[in-house]
Amino acid sequence: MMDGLRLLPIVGCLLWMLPLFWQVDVPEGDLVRMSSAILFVFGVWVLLIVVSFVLSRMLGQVPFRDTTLLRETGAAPKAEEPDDGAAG
Amino acid sequence: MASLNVLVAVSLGYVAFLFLIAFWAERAALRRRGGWLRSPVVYTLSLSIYCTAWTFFGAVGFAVRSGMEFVTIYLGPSLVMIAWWWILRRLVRIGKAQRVTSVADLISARYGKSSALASIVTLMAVIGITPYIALQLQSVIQAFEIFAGPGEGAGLNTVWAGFWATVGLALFTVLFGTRTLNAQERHDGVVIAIAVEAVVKLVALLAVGVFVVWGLGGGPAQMMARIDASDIGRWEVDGARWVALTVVAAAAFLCLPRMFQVLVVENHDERHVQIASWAFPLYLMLMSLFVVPIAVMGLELLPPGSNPDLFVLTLPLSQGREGLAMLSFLGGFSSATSMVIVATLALATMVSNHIVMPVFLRARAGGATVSGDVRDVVILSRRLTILGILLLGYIYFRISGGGAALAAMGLISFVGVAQFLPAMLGGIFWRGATRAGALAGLSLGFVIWGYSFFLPSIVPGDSVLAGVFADGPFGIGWLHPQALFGIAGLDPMVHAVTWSLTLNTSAFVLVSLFTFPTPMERLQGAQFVNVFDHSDATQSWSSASATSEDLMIMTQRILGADEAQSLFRKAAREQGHGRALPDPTPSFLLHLERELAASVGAATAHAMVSQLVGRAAVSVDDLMAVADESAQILEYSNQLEAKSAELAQTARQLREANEKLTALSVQKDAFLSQVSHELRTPMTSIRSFSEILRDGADLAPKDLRRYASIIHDDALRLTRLLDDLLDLSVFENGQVSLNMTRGRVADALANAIRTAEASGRRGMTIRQVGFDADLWLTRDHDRLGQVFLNLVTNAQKYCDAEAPLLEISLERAGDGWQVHFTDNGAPIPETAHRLIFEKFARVDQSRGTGAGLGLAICREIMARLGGEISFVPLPDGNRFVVTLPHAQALAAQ
Repeated sequence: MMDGLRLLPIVGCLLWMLPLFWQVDVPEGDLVRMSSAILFVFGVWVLLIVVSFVLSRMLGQVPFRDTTLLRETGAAPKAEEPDDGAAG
Repeated sequence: MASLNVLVAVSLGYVAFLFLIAFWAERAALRRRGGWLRSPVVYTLSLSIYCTAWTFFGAVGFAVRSGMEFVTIYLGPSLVMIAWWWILRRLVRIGKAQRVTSVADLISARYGKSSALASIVTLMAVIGITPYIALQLQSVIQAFEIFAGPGEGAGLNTVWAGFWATVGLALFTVLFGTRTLNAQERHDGVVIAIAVEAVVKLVALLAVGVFVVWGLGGGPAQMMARIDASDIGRWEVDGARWVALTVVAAAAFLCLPRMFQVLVVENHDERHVQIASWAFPLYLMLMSLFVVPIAVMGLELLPPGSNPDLFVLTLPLSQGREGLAMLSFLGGFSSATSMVIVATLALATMVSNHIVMPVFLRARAGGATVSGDVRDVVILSRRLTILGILLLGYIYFRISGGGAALAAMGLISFVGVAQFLPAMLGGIFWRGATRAGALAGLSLGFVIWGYSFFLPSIVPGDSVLAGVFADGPFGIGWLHPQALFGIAGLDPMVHAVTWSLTLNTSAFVLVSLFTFPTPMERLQGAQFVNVFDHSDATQSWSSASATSEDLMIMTQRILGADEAQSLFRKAAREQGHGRALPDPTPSFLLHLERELAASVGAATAHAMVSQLVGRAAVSVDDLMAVADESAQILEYSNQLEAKSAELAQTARQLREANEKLTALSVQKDAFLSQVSHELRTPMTSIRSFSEILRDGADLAPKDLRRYASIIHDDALRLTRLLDDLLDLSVFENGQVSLNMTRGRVADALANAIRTAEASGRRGMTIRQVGFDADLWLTRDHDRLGQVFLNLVTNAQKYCDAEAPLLEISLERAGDGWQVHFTDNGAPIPETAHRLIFEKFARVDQSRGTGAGLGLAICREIMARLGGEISFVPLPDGNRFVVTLPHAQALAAQ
């Protein structure tokens, strides 16, 4: 679940960078049509929003409750994700 | 066509309406009834100030000019929101933990609360945002122009219209934003007004879009066909621009001061970020949904040469839909005003906290205690800043001529603020980032941005400087602003983005690697990077010399009397006493610094408190706090070491115990086998001779007697052996009970000699020397006699001299007495010296009938009596020395 949340932006990035491979140095008729481009870009957008929504719902309030609970009980609040540092 | 007056009236009415909403929201928040004001919906809507007039008007123009490229401006932020778990969550947590008030505050706080860094970031932000503000002014003025009617004569004077629009926006912002001081208390009114405006602009754009697609375009399917047939009907996006724009938009989304304000500062609950992670991309998607259809229909229906930036407005107007056009105008107006309000507010906070306050405090040499009411200064500086920033925007608008495309102007700002990104991300993810690195990266990136992107946008084509942009300064080609290092052919925007961000990041990383952070930086760096480990402890104050009165006076000046008093009262209550002033404990000072930081920024608050507490920014305590971290690691490793040493010791002890046990077991086995051997020999002879006796009825009486006497002898030997074993075990177990009597040593010896001679086998001369000393002892004399007897019989048995002689002498040794038993027999071999006192040790197995327990028993007896027995080899004999316990050895008078 958490991994999905972390991966989603990377997936979105890859999908949205796909248009880089669409051909532009070809005769007018062979170019990707604008309507297809619109459908693709907005399709990815809707997909990301839906997946993000579902993940966010499934995640509930877990990531925040963890830390607040720990803090309230006075225990040393460890970061709930050990690989966070890898983000740097 | 609606007259200009109606338009102005509608605008003013709309503004008044917003003002009322804001006012009412602040009242509600004050009465603690505004829970819904802090809902995730409001948070998400407030993020929509990202969509300014650029989005509302400029996106369509962008689409007309460059096709789908416009959408990258929304893809970047969508990705940032979807990636909330990586960056935004961290930023929000840091913002809360450190009470960050602005992006400049964040960067300065991260790099050791550096005021230099804060003021540089502030300056950069002000310069960077200026084109953006100009963009809003331009769009509003252009919109007015459309309504005022085409043509020069009927049009309004743009100079004055622009000026009045600026003044109006300034007034609005000042009224809205600077009524309260504490930035951390957040501008509930402003936020709710922004949320309302977000709804208005979304509804307006969707309404125009629906009208275009269904009213003019004939439904989605036909619309798609029209799009494909239009001038922008093919995918002709430059890949480099596609990537660069997405990156810049994502960076700007995080770094724009106004975005930081709503994303981090105005955030009430970290959970809202989670909801906004899908809701805000949805908002952006809806905002961009109808951009291409509007652009295509505009191109199709409007006369050539119309400004595509205003299609959203002119398209409904051209179709006679004045109501829709009015709604559209309000949408654009909302976009522009909300952006201007939040952007100038955020910048004003930064300017007053990071430029005005430090200068003001320095100017007043006496510091925070003697200066006047700081609150007035802060508020005044903020109001003046708002005016100043709007004025700058207006000037930029005038200089750039008002003819540029909206998107182009916006991009200049975006690339400018994107320069904060390396310092910001490096600061929250990399502990090695240093202030020098941040300074170097920021400055370099900003200089390149200014040189290759900002300046070309404002230099008129006919000025002297224009030559610089044509051929490079002094004709040096590789310094050409839009082809640095001689690499030409890049799009100017891509050129500026790649060079500024690459060099910025490289300088930041390189300088960070080669400089050493100050203790304060290390401290803050740890706090930022490990924000999820400890969100509550920043470096604390030692309350050396601050008095509560001084602190109170200072706090009143910043927070106001009421709030300061309630803050101090609360702290006093928490400290558990009823006085009005709390004790200046470190935790209270820390709390106070954070409260003040919310008003005047971290660096200033830190400076003010340190002025009163009376120590330099970094003290021994700070160093100790830094050291603490390493100390913890050290302590941990010490603990580990101690544990391992302990374990090693235990292992050693166990090994020793094991060796002892093994040795004991070997000893026991040896003992048992020896005992059995000793027992078996006499037993065998007893058995065989008794069998002869039983079976041999015809034995001669002489043999009979001989055999019986052998059996008797062996039985005696067995008995003796068993007696000895019993003695030994009794002594070894310490169960012996000594019969203490007082008697003379000489008597005990005489008894022993008598007994020995009675059973003596060979004649042996026994000479007694020194026994005329009348030595009395309180000891067990029977046991002592047993030792003497043993030694005498041993000498009798083993002395092989022709004329055996035993000399027994009593001698003084130190405090005590020794009895020496010296014989003239052959010396015991050296190899046997160590063994003679062991059980069953016999020097010569072939001689003697003893079991070899005698000397072992003697040793045990002497140990019980408190003395000892030892062996001294002589060249021509052997000597046993019995050392009498000297405490009891009392020489008689």
